[in-house]
Amino acid sequence: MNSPYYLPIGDEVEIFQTAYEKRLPVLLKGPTGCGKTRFVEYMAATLHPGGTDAEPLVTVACHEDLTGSDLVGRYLIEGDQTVWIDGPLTQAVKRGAICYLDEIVEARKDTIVLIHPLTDHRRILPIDKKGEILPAHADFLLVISYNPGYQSVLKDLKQSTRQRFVSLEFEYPPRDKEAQIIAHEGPAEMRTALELATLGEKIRNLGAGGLSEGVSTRLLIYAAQLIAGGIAPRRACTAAISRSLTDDVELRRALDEMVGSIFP
Amino acid sequence: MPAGGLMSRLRGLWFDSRHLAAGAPDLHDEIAALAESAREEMLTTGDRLADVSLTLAQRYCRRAPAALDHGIDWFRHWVSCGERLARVDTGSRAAAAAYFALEPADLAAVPNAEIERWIALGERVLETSRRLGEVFVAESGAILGTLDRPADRLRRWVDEGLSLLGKDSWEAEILALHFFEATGLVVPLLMPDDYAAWATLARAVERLGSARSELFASVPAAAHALPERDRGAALNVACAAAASAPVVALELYFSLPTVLEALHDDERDALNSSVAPVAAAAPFGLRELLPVLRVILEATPDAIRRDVLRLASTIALRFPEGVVPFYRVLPRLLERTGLEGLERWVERGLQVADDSPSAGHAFFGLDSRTSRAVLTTESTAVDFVEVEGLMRRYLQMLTGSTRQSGPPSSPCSPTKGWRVAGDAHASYRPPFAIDPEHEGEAIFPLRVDIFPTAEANLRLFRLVAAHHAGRREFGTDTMEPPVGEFLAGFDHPEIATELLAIFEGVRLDACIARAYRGLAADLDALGHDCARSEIRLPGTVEHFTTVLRHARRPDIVRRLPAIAERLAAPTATVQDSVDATRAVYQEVLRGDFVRLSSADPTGFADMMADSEMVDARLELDGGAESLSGDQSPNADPGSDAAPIDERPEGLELDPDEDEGGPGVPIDPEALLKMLKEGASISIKQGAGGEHVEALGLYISDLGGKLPRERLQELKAHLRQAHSALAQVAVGIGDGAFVYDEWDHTIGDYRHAWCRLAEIPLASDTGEFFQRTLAAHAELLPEVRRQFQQIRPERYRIVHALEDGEEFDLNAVIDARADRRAGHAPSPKLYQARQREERDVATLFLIDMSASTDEPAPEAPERRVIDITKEALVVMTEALEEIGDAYGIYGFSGHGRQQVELYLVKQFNEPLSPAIKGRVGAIEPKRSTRMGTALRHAVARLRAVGARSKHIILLSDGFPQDLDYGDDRRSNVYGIQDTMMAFQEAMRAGIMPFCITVDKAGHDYLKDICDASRYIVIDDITALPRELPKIYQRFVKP
Repeated sequence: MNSPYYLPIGDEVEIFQTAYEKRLPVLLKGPTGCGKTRFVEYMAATLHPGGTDAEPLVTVACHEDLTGSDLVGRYLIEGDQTVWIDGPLTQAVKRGAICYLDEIVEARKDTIVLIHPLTDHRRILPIDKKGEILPAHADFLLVISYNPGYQSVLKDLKQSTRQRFVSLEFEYPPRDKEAQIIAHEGPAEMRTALELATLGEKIRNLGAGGLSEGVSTRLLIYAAQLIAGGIAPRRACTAAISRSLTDDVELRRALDEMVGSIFP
Repeated sequence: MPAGGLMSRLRGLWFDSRHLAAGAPDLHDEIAALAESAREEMLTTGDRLADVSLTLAQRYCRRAPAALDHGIDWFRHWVSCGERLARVDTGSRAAAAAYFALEPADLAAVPNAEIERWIALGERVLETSRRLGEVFVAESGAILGTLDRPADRLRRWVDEGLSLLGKDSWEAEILALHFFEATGLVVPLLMPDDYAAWATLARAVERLGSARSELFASVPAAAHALPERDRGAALNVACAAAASAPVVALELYFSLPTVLEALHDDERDALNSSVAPVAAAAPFGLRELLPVLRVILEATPDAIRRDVLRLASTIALRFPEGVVPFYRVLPRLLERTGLEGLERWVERGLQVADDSPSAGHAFFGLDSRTSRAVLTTESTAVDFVEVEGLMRRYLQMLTGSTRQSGPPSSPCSPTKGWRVAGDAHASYRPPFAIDPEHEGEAIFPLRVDIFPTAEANLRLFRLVAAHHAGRREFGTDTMEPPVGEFLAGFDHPEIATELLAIFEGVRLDACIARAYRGLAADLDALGHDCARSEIRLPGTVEHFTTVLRHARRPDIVRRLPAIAERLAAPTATVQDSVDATRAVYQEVLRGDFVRLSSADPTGFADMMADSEMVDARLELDGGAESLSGDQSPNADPGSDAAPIDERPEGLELDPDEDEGGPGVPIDPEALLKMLKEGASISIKQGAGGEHVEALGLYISDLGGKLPRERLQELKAHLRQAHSALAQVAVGIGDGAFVYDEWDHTIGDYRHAWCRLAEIPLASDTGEFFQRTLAAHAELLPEVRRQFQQIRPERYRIVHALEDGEEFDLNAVIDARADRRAGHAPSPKLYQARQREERDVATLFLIDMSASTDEPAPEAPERRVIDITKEALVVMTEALEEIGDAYGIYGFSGHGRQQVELYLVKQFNEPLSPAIKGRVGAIEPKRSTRMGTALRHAVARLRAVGARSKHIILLSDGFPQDLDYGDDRRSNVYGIQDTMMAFQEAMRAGIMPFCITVDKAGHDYLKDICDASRYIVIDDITALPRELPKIYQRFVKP
C-alpha cells in the first residue's frame, strides 16, 4: 500500500509509533477534518501490521445506531442454515490490523463497552453470540477518535473508556503547514494555498460566535481542487466553504465577506 | 320738526353737556375756529340728530369739524348717510353713532357712490338686526378706505353673514354677530368668492365653544405673505375638515398658511391637494402632522419637493389615511432612497392599502415588514444596523482568538470580543481607543450613502472593519508610548489624533493590501469610486492634502507623498506613524520651525526640514499664488481627483484672507474643523450633487408656531421622526432585544415593534424554596419516583428488523415455515435493543402580570403567583432527578417599548441556592405581552443544543398590555399575536405548551393554539401536583 500524504505537525508520528510498539491503544482527539483519519491511514501504511500483504487498516465510522453486532459480527441465514459473519472489529482482531473507530462517542454506550477487554492487557474480544473469546492478533491495535468540540455533555466519552488510551490531540495545522498540505493535496499554487490557509484561520476565529466547528482542512483542500479545476477562487470558496459550513444567511454573508477580503 | 325753543333747549342738552368734549378736549376750540355759516349748519344738523339721540349728536359733533375739512358738500353727504342709518328704525341710532365714530378722513377717501352703496348695505343689515348693523358699520367702515371696490366685496360678505341667521335662534344670532365682528380682519384677507367658505368654517368652529374666539379674533399670521388665491385655497382645505372635525379645521386654518409660506408658488397647489382629501376623510391624523409639516418640507431637497408633494397628492386621492404617515416618515424615506425609489414604494403601498386600509396605514408609516422590505430593495444606502451582525462576525474572523495556532504563550494577544457600535459622527478612520474602557470597541458610521451602489457603500463598512482589525493585527496597539499618553503630550490632542489616524491609516491600508488581496482590490475600488464621484474621505492623505492646500501650506503638501510612501513600505511600523504625526503636527502648527530631537531615528523630522524644503520656502516667499496650484505630476495619484481650486463648502478659512506661506501656523480650530469637514459620511453627498441633510428638526425651529401645551407632544413626535436609526441604535443595547409583532388588522408584522429587556432577578433568602419543599414533603417523593421511571437509558427490544443484533426467533421460524410452504419469507429476521434517550430542553415561561397578585379562588390565603412558584419548586426537583435541561424565565412589561423578561434560571446555570432564591423572588409586576415574551423564549431556545425543545407557558389570563392593539377593550390583537408567536415557535421546531389557571382559558386558548397544546387547570391548588404530570405527558424526548 502506498503511504498516503501526511505532514507531521508535532511529535504525533513518534508517539504513535512507540505506542504501537507497546501495543497501547490510541485515542485521537480533534475537530472534524483536521487530519485524524489521514494520520491513521498514514501510520497504518507506515507500520503495515499483519504483514505487508494484508490490508493494514479497518475503519468503522460510528453512528448512534451502531450496535455491538455491527462491530463483532452476526448470524445470517443462508438457505436452511445460519452462518456467522465476522464484523469489522473481529476481522481486524483476527488479522492483526489497526482497527480505527472513528467518532466513537457517536456509538451506543453498550457498544463502547465491547472494546474494553481489547484495550487492556487481556487483548481479547468476547463474542457472546458464539460463546467465544477471541485473543487478538499480535499486530492488532485499536485506535479510536472523537471530537470534543461539538458533542453535548451527554455524549462525552466516559472516564472508564478514555483512561484506556494514549491520547493524541489534534488541532487544525498552523497556517504555513496547512498551506503546505493544501498545496500538496489540491494541488494548488503556494500563494493560493497560503490564502486558503489564511481563510481557514480567519474562519476558525469565529469560534463559538457562529460555527459549531471551524472550517476543516478538508474543505480548504476541496476549494483548492476547485480552483485547480479552473473555478474562480471566490466562487470555489463559497461553494466549497461557506455554503458547506452553514445555512445561516447572516453567517454565510460574513463568511463571504471574508472570502472576498482575501480573494479579489 | 321741533320748534325753535325746543331746539335751543335740545342744543343745551347735547351741545352744552360736559360729556361732549369727553375724549376730545380740543373740540370746542375746533368748533370756535369754524366759519360762522359752517358752524351754524353744523349745530343745526346736530340739533336734528339730537332729536333722535343726544349721544348720536355728540358723536357726530366730535367728528364734524374734521368732516367739514372736506368741504360743505361732502359734509352734507356725510351727514345724510349717517341720517339714513339713523332713520332705519328707532333702534338703528347705535349704528348711526358707530358711523359717526368713523374717521371722516377715511371715508372721504372712498367715492361717494361707494359710500352710498355701503350705507345701503348697512341699512339692509339693520333691517335684520340692530346689533348686527351697528357691528357691521363699525367694523366695515374702518376698512372701507383700504378696500378695492369695497361695496361689492362687502355686499358678498353681508350676504354670507345674513345667511348665517337662517334659523331664527339665539345661537345663529351670536354666530352672525361674531361673523360681523370679524369683518375688519377677514374681508381684506380673502377674495369675495371665499367668504362663503369662511362662513362655513365659522359655522363649524362656532360649535367648539371656547376655542372659537381664536377664529374671530385673529387671522393666520402667515396668510398675509401668501397671494389671495392661496389664502383661499388654504381656507378651502380647512373647510374640508369643517363638517367632521371643526378642531382640525381650525388648526388647518391657522397652520396651513405657515406651511404654504415656506413653499414655492408652484408647490402650494400640490400640498393643498394632498391635504384636502385627508381633511375630509381622516382629519384627526392631521393634528400630529401640522406642527411638523413645514419643517419636514423644508428639509426636503428643493429639487424633488414638488414631485414629493405630487406623490403625496396621489396617495391622498387613493388612500387619504396614508398621507399623514407618509409625510411623517418622509425624512427617513429620503435618507434611504431617491425619488424613483419613493415612487415605487408609494405605488406598492397603495396596492397594499387597496387590500386593507389598516395595512396601508402601517405601510406608509414604515411600520410593517413589507414596507421596510420594499424600501430596502429601493435603497442603496447601507445602514449600520443592517450590517451590525455581519461586521461583528467579520471583525471576529479577522482578529479573533487563534486558539488553534501556537501555544498559549504566543505573542498574539488574547482575544477580546469586539463591541461594534454605530456613531453618527464616525468617520472613515475611526477614533483611537484612548480609554481602556473603549478597547475592543469598533466604531462604524451609522449609515453609508456615498456611492451609487449598495455594494460600494458596503465596501466602506468592510474597509472600516478591516482598519479596526488592522490596528490589532498590524501592531497599532503596540505603540510606545500608548496612544492616550502620546496624544496627551500635544497642545491640541484632537489634531494629533486626526493626524495619527491619517498616517496610521496609510500604513495600515498598505499592510492590509499586502495581507489580503481581496481587500487590496477593495481599497483600489474605493479609490476609483472616490475619484469618480469627487469624494475625499476625511482621514485620508487626499483629504489632508486638500486641507493643507486651502490652508496655503503647499510646503507640507509636497512632503506628504514621501511620507506616505515611507509609511506604506513593508518595513514601516506604528512608530513611523507616530514620528510622522509628531513631525507634521509641529510643522503645521508652528510657524518658526523647530528641528525635532536628533534621536528621531526614522528621519521624518529631517524630511520636513531638508534643504529642498527650505528652498521651497524661499520660492514661496515670492510667489505663493503660483505654487499653491503647483502639483508634482506623480506625487499623489489620489489627489488627481481633487481639483485644487475647489473648496469644501462651509470652510471658514479663506485663502485670500490668509496669506499663509510655509511655516505659517494654521489656526488649530480651523484646521480641526477642516480635518473633520464632511466627517459625517452618513450624510448623502451623492454623485448628483444632491445634498440631503439629515432631518434637523429642532424645537427652536418651530418657536412661536406652536401652542405651548403641544410642545411636549411634539418633542415626542420629533424624536420619532428625527431618526429611526438613532432609535434602533439605542434600542439594541446590552440586554435589550427588538422583536416584530403580528398585527392581524394589517395582516403583516409590525417592524421592530417591541423592545424587550432581560432583567436579572435578585434572589430572596431562599426561604420560600425551602418552605415549599417542606410543605410538599408528601408530594415530592412521589414526583421523584415518577420521574425516575422515565429516566433515560432504558432499552426496548424492537422486533422484526431487517438488520439487528440477534435473530428474532419468532421471525426466523415464520420465515422457515414460509419457505417450506413455498412462500417468500420475510427478510425481517432480526431484533435489536433500542435505547430511549432523552435530549430535552424545556423553557418555563412564567406570567408575572399584576393579575397573579390576586388570591387564588380555591385557597384565598395564597396568591396565584405563590402557587405558580410552588409548582416551579416541585418541578425543579423533579427535573433535577431526570437531568433534563431547563430554564425559567418570567415575563411582564408595560407597553411595547418595555417588555420585561426576568431571568430566574438560564439553561447553563445549575440549580444553585441563588437560583432557588430567585424562584422565591418571582413577584407580580405589570402586563402580559405574551407574543414578545414567546418570541424571546424561542430565540433563547434556538441557542440551546437539544434534540427536543419545549416551552411551557404558565399563565393566568389572556394576553394583555396597554398598547396591545388599538382597542384596549378588545383582546383580539393580543390573541392573534400570541397565536402567531406560537406558530413561529413550532416552525422553529420548538413545541410550545400553555398551562393556564384561568377558568375561561378555553375561550381564547382555542384560538391561540391547537387543543392538544394547552390545558386549563380548574383547581389552581392542584398545579404543583399537576405540573410534573403535564411535563411527563407533554415533553417527549
